[in-house]
Amino acid sequence: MQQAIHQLLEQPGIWRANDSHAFAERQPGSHIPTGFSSLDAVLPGGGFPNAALTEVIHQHHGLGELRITMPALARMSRGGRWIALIAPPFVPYPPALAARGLDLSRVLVVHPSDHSQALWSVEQALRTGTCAAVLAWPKHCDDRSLRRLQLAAEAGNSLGMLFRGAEATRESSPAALRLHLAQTQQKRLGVRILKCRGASASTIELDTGANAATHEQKPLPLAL
Amino acid sequence: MLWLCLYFSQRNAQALEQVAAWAGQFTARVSPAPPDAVLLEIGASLRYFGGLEPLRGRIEASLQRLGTRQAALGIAPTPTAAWLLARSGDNTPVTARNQLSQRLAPLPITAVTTDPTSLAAIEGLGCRTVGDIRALPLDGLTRRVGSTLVQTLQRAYGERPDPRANWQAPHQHHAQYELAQETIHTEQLKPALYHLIEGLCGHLRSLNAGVMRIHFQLLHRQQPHTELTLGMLTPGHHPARIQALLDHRLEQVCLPSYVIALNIAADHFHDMQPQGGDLLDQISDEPALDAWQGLVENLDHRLGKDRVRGLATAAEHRPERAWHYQRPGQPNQSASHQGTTPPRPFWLLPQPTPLSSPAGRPNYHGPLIFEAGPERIESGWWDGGDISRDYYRALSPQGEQLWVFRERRKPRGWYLHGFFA
Repeated sequence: MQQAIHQLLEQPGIWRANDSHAFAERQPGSHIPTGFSSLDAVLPGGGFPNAALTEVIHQHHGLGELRITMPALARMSRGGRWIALIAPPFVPYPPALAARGLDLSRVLVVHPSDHSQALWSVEQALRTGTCAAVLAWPKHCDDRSLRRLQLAAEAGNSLGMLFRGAEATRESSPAALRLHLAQTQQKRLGVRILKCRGASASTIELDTGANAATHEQKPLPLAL
Repeated sequence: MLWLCLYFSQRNAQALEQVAAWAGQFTARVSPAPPDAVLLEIGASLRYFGGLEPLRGRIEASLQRLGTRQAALGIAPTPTAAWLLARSGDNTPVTARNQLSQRLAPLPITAVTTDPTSLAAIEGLGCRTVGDIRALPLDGLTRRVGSTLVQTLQRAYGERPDPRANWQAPHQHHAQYELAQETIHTEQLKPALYHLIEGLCGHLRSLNAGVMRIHFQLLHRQQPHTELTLGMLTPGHHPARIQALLDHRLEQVCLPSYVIALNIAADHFHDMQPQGGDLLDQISDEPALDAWQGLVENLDHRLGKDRVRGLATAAEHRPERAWHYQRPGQPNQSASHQGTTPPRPFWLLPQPTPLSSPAGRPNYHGPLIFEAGPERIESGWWDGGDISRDYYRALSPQGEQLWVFRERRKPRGWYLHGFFA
């Protein structure tokens, strides 16, 4: 019995809420630094969880939802795998992406014809293991499809990022990390952590400094 | 020299050519021996494939994937001896010439000829095996059974030259597979389609070529054929890669009727760089099939072309022309102006959206606050797409950072053109 439990706990898919540091330390490279030190400091493992789903929830466009991913994406685009953008709501503007150090030759933009094709594409991109990151803007996601995507991200060792509207905050989700973006009183970007594997704090507010980030943030060095 | 003979109890000439094309992946010297055998000179390939047994294992495995069950195999230093061994079902290899007489002697005489008159004549001499005939004096034997049979035996023993013409593989591939059982389920077509792919890939590898386009025809009894075309980004000749594409393609196929036979056709062969084996894993048969391109191919097949694209910048001042889509994975050719221009937004609207501007102040979820600007962009008078705009970076009351501009021409309207997401 005891042995069976130990075997169960060895599974990479199992995490224990009281064991955040062990979880993070056991898997080097399991987190991808966001490039914003204040954000890294509050995320267990110090970054976005790799091989897992992250949800970024925001009501409006233009709050900084892509800005918080850019340093990580720029670095990952130099690692030899794709960065896939699936069903983006607007044109991901190449001059802006290139200015942030993204290697455009590694960017894949996918415009599926409908919602089910979009979910299929996201799952496919996550599962094959040839995408370092998959950013997707699905119309809606039920619990079952989220679970499929979470498993696909684990299988393909990819960072899956879903950008969803504010109504998603009311739903439960198997994602490893859920961030909610909103403007703070000081007219800056506020990032609230709704859910995070291995961290109990659920209502941290922090300020990445929207303007500072846009002008001064440099891509991190290559070494992973 | 070491020859391997593949003997088929039932084959037609066209099928032999298909086997010869497939066999080219194992050796450069292939020679069909109509009506029922194909000969491969494998002596020169042994070193590359790591010895006789590994090579033979490969050939047998590939034969099985080819769907050829009834092939008998014989290995000997002369082509005719290999043929004799294959015909009599003796698949133990003979590797040295001095073993030949010992190994050929017990073979039944029916392996040499099936001609009834010759057989009757030999029976009349009291001979049942090859060894029995060899024991008889040569001139008398020639008189009784004819010179053809005697010469065949002399070639088998290596006493008479036995030249074999090298078969040249054509630079296109057509093959057919008749289904033993008609089916309407695509799942049940897969084994047969895989056999056809294996045959094509063997042919391609023998020429060090690849294909980018493969046509399949699924033949029905009455309805017109169902056509399937697979396209690849780069020339390929690895069965696994083509099979994966086919699997995706088959998911979308709805068969109108039962399928009775399958055709494969590839007309345009592309040269490929020979791939070196892996350093550690001597020859990688299913190598790093380029999974990186595989994803794009898979998405392409499922979603359709022009739904999977890459991005590039262009040396242009007009924001809507400073970029374009391109084929995925291509390097970004033009250096952007970004170093000198103010920051650009991550999201660009496909078309600028007009903003209402009560009291001269643009509105988006409330009145906007300007944070930076104006940046004047005036360009394009030479091609008719000229613009004259003042761009601002603005903040909405909801915290949205916007890229807006005002036309400098009348009626001097305000537009939203992007989000600093």
